[in-house]
Amino acid sequence: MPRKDSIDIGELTDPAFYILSSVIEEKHGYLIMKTIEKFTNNKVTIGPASLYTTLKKLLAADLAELSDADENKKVYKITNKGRAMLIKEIERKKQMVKFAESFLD
Amino acid sequence: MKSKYVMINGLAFSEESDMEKLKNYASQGWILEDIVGGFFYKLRKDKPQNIVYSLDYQLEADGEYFTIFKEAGWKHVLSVDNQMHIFSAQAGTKPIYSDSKSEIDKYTCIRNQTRRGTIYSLIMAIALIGLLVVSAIAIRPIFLIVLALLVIHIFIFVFNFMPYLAYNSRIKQIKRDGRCKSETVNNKMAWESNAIAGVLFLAAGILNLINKKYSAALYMTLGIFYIALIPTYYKKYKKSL
Repeated sequence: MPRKDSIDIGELTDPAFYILSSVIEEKHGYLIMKTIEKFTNNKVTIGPASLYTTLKKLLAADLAELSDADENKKVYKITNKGRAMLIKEIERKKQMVKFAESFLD
Repeated sequence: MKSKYVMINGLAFSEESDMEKLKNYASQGWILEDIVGGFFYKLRKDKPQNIVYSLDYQLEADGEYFTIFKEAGWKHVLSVDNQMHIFSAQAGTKPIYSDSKSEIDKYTCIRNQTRRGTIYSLIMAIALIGLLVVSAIAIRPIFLIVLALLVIHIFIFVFNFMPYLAYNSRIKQIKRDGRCKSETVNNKMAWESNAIAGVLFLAAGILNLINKKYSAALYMTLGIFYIALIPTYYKKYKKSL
């Protein structure tokens, strides 16, 4: 039985969410890792194997694309489809947080 | 330069414990250089190093793949068939997988490949058994050739089917616990293969009993022996969870 890919069913995994957000401005692989670590104060780190497979999935799902690539260092950038999905996902997460917070007050 | 060879335990089964073993060798100055013959690590004598090893499966590794690892502090040590890759890094470097979801993907590709190998070799083996029977009766000259081919395909089958079971059990473990331990994979494989061997020997024993052959006793004993070992491994497996 083929496993349903979370990207296909319209959801982003946490690492995919972080990676996609960080390529709103185009970046190469290592810079994506560093940026995520820096902005989350090292709370979130993405390992190289996880980064590589997630990037490949984002490319395959047309959520990210390569901008001018040289052979060994690819530069990634979000697509319009990726941007739309990210905005949808941010809204969904906002709703979740709002829901939980309304009980905490 | 001094070097030595250390047996590989079967990476599908004991990946974590093998990586730990390589780390210990490195701390004594035996550094992994290569894998030779598919069954041995070649270690080279150097200064003791405080490094760790990680293994990854990636069927479509390209320059970008190795660049990302390198920049994250993981040095490429060796690749086998451009599908299995071993990296080393200073102790304390962040692990190559940071979430269980992508770690499941690591084993899914290689699992599917061993599944294809299992099915292919099984079909070939069955066809060859048929041909063997025919050749035994009608075409004597090719009997030995067919027999040799059959033996080869039984080997291919075992070397695909056992890893297939191991990768499958790894995927299930990560889905359940978020991580994977060699010990658990090994003990699970041990009790499962004992069960398979036990049942096969018992079946052979019963067949021989029906045909009133003395070898029945031997097969039955072996079957009972394997089945008697199941509880020991099963308990170990449950304990290692």
